[in-house]
Amino acid sequence: MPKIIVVTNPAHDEVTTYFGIWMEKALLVAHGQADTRVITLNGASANRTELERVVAEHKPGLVLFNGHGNASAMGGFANAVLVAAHDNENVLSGTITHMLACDAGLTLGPRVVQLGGRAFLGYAKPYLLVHDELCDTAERRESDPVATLVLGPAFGAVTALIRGATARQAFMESQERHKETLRMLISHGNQKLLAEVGGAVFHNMKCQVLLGAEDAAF
Amino acid sequence: MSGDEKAGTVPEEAIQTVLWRLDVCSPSIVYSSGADGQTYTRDEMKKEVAAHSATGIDFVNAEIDFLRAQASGELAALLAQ
Repeated sequence: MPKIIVVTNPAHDEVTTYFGIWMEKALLVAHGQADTRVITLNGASANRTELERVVAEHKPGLVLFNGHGNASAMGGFANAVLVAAHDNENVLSGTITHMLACDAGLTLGPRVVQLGGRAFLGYAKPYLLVHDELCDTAERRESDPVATLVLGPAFGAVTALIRGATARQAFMESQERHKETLRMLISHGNQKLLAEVGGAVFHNMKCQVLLGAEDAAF
Repeated sequence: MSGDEKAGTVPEEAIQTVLWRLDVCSPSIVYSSGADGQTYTRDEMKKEVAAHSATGIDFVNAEIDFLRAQASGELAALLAQ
């Protein structure tokens, strides 16, 4: 039986479009794994009904959310709630969950783990994205040098999870990539770039959280 | 963002420092954060900061945290790990 990954990719605005582009790159790892199947809820299909149906039917080991969130809820297409604390968070029971979204690690993450989620990786404060508006096509966004500095470290965790690393290893890999980025920004002496993204990279690194079983692996 | 300091309690020096930092950024830089995915160009963020809006103050707090970490040695210690 293949291992299942469920991905939400609402891509309804600039931020979620960037997330989607980076998610696609991360999924190349999964596509290279013969025993892994990826089910992506794109656009309007990133809704609560579809998510609950797909999870119930396919029982994924890994669920990767990309979107906007708050302390108690994760959003999908047009920011409609996909999963909320004290509501349907048990849908993630038995899974390793990664949420690239603001604040979801604050209340929703702990609830997911409390109700049987194996591990949760996310952010306990707002996730800061910085990008260059001159990168206005999919191709340019993919190579946006500014967004790369912010999203590269974040997706380090996603790629590691897909590869089968433990939640702890994935978290540490992402933390280390944040540090590498900061070392590079500081040592290159590019004050402009440091001013543009340094604060965001540092902030995201500090508010990234790992909850649940650190040895859980997909 | 939900910074530790609330609007009205951030020193004016911090506001000014972040405005100077934004001045050296490219005008095409876009910042985004928050549950609604709102985005701000450099100049829009400068207006938020100057107006001490919640978004602006949260941005100031994140930037000042970073500057403090550099000045205090916290960042160097972290990066040395």
